[in-house]
Amino acid sequence: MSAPAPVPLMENEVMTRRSRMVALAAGSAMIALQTAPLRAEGVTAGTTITNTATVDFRVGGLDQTEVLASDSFTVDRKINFVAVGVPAATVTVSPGQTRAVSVFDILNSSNAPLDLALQWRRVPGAQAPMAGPTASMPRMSKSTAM
Amino acid sequence: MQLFRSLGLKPHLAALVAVLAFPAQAQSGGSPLELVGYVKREQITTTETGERRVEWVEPSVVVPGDRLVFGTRFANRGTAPIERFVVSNPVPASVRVTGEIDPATLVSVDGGKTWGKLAELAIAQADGSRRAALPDDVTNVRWVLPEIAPGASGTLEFPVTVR
Repeated sequence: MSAPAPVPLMENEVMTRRSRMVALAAGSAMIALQTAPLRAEGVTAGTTITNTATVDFRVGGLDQTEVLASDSFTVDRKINFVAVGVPAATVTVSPGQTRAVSVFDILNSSNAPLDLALQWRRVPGAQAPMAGPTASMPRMSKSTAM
Repeated sequence: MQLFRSLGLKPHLAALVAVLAFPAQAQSGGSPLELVGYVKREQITTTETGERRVEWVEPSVVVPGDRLVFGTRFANRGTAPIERFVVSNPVPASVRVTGEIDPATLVSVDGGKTWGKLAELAIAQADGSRRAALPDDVTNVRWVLPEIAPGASGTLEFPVTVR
């Protein structure tokens, strides 16, 4: 009945994190600068939960051996995160400019650690004669079971 | 003979405890009690006509927030009545009992030290005062059936949500 868990973790392990990502606007590298552990939202993925029944009874007035019955399942991963630009997700880079940066806050409210990769997408038609190309990261939000 | 007792959940949650009489089978020296624990997950679907349909299915995938039913099926396969049939379920810390639990069900809010109906129990608070116990406080669930006739069987259930 139970589905395999992606990452077995202790039930009380703190795994929800807020990360701040800084990306070089002219390149593709991204670096997580800070992470701040927060309280996990929900039971950690990989936790095994068991329904156990203990039964005592008599037959003919005599106590019988205690009987147990149980059924278990494993909690799966529930993906829930938000990535948003700080203060805005769009960065304008002038021709020849280097080391332009864009900052994003990523809040992982899932019940498991996540590996995320942000990718640049050039905004179509955003190129201005003097401003050069623009890169942006749209706001992302997803909540689903995987 | 067919006898229904509401011991676990409210009827709309399929919480009836059904005690059904079947022809008694000979006891072959072992325990007369047949016992099976199970877990079901609530699955809500909407039909083409827009009707909301609730089903209880095998929990192939369970995530926080899912509504479940913890249950136990029992049967007396012996030739003599089973007396003072007591079923006790601890509530795992990863789930919480929901408000749909039958108010007549015996519960504990202190790990099984004391028992009563939920409305009769209270929780001691840090400042010394006491407040009424809530479904979320339930740590154990218990049923006591005086007798199970030979050939009879039934189901005991209580509702939980994954924390």
